[in-house]
Amino acid sequence: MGSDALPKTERRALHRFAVAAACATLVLIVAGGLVTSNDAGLSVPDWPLSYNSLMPPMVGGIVFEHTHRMIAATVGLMAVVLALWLWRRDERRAIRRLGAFAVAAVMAQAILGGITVLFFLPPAVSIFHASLAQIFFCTTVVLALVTSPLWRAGSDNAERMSLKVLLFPEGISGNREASAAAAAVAVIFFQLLLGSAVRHLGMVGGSKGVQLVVPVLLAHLAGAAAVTILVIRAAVRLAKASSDGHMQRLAALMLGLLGSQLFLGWRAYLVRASGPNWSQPFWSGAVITTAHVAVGAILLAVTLLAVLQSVKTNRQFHQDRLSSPRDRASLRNKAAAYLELTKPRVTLLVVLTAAAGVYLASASVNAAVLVHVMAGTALLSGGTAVLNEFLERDADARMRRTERRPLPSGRIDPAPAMIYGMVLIFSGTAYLAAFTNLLTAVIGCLTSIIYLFIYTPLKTRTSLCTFVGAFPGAAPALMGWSAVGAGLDERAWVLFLILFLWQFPHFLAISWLYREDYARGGFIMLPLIDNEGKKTGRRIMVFTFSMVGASVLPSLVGLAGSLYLIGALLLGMVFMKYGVSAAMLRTQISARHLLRISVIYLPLLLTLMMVDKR
Amino acid sequence: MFNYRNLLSALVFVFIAACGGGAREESAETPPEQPSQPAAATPMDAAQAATLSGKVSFTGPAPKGVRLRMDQDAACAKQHSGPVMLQEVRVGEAGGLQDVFVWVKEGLQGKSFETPREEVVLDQKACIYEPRVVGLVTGQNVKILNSDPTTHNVHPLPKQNREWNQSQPPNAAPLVKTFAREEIMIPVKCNVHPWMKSYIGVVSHPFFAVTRTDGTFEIKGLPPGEYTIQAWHEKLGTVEQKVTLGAQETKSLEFTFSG
Repeated sequence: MGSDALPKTERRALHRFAVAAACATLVLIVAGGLVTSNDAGLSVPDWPLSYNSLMPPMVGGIVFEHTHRMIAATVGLMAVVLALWLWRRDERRAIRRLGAFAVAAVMAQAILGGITVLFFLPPAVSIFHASLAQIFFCTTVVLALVTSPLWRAGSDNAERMSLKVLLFPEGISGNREASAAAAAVAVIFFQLLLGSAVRHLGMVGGSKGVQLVVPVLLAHLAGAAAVTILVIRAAVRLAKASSDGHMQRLAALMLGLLGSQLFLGWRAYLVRASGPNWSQPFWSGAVITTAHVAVGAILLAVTLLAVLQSVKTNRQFHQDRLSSPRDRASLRNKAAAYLELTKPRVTLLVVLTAAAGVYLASASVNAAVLVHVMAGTALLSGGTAVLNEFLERDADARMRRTERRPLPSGRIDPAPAMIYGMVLIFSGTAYLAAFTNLLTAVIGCLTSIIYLFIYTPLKTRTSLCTFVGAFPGAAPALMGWSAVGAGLDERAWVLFLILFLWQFPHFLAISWLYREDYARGGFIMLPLIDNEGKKTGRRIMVFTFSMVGASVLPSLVGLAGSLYLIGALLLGMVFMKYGVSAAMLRTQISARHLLRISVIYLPLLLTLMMVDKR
Repeated sequence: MFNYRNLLSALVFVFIAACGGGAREESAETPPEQPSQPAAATPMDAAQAATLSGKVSFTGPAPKGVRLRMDQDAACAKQHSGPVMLQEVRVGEAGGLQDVFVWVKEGLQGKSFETPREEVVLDQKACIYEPRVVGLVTGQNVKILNSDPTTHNVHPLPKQNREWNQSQPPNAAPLVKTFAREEIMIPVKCNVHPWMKSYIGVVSHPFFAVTRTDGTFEIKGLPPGEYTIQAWHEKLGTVEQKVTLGAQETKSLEFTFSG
């Protein structure tokens, strides 16, 4: 049994208080949503006081803003009381720490709220505020769960393991329904982040009033599709995995929330799409958009509860886990492993491609822009690499080429790696938004999302993944370009096209070389399903010729001059020679040569472009 | 995995070379961060001054107005006897379009003008900005009043100028502000009463006007020259025309927006 140290009545009171805190947090999210929906965020220009007092005149927008502040203060106080209570009376260390984390989160949240008022609602800060709100809400919901009698009825071991999944987990790769639910949690969180971007980027419209930012909206729509698939998958697995009525009710609740959320999202879109004609925010619109926010938060929390419940009730899983020994690494090794996790060489390559974009887009290079782009891209690219390794940790463990990576070798636990990756991606996006411009941040975030949620899952399903993967592969150049503030004109797209096409001969050569290893990892690359390699050869040929063809375009659209043209043609001839022989011979050696020439060709081509820039 | 090092060292090299080149170019570029100090006014012969007048019209059916809901603040609602309508496209007699900002967009470069001493007044009255559209010369004072028995916050949303947001309780002293850079137009909002909106045009010279109820405007005292005149409307966008003015000439321009 759980704790016997706490008298039953106190345990019940503690649980009730935690539930109250979670409910109050939901009310707070609704109040915050109403502030945004009513465009009232700046109706009180000062902070922390409101109009220099604790109680301003409650009229117009002030009603929303000040009510939000008052509820926030209450919730903050509740979080402090709850944390102190847990700290003094709960014997579980993880829970005590979670309580302390809740206090830290709510404090940070208050400060972010202040920053957004004092700096006139910068979208990046507002989006961060909205996302941290979700994290805080999840924290309070988890605290309510783990103090409940239902939770405490299980064995101590089971409890310890499931809490580990939450804080510093072992990973849940053996548990199909829990990992499906965990994937849904991650994607719902990203989706809420994108949703807050839709709200806050749309609010800054100047004379035209409310405007929707199309790329963000499209990303949010794509996210809706991903959430739908993942939530249904998780719900089905959860319902099937247990005969426990409780679990099935949870699954049904998830599906019901999903349906409501999709409906509300559609209504919210209709409301907002009529936005440019608004003369003022109207009540029904505010109610719909705020309900969309609130139901999103509830769906996130419920899905997270499903993860924890499922981990806790899956006994087999715990026994397996408890018996597997793990080696612990020293602090220094750990730091090195965390660095390794960001794939520093690939990240450097991405950063340099983005820098090439900056250089080619600027009439004269602005050093500050260059540094900001490189820093932001490094964070994003590193974070994407971390999350990719997190997602592929099982496959990596089966492949010789990757089995020594930090996650498969057990030097780092999966959950901290996941948090690390998300923090990197989040800060990279925020950094780009703050120091370059929104378009760059949006392209960067979309690139990560495509890489992680489309390309990565496709790798085990279809050989077409290379095609999808080529988009994020070429995107850093666009990020560099857009950061300069020049529009994405045909020159940018030509650069993108060359980088896009280059990926094919390059990756086909790699996957030909490592095809056995990829097969062990369960990846589906073209050369694996194409034993003689004829198809691979044809594809190498087609893309090599297309790429060389595209490489003359920079001279035609005024990106580079004739010196570049001559150089590009010469380089192209060399590349084609190796491409053709790799395609015809289909030997290890010819593939290796093609790979080598591809990594020499690209920097030389970019150099020529920079030297002969128009 | 394959060897990234070739690629990396090549790219790093390229980059050092490229940035070296870039840095040299950069020193030539000095973007003016701060607005330049107002230079002495370019001397102008008052006897030569030309006048530009004209009318902005609207064709087609005028969009319907929307009803403003002031029930969130009783102090606003009770100042109006009936429902409050907002007409964003205000068409007066003979199709004249009101509250269009007409200004000399091009043709005065290199000349400088004295900043007018008088203040432009922007009032908040019955929870509506009065007037809805005003023009200012860079550096000229705008005096913002609160004639209402309720609290407002005044929040301009500029792109070129510095953003600010200040509260103004009833009977508070007027806010006196200036804008340093030219900007067409700066929306001004009150977040307490989110229907409240006005637009401030900030121009580096005094040659601008806001159309009257009948759509007419007049810009006096222009030096002879070739100009591009822009007409801006909050909903309908902008229209431009070129005009050449001789000494002492008076010309009339017609602008038309359609719905």
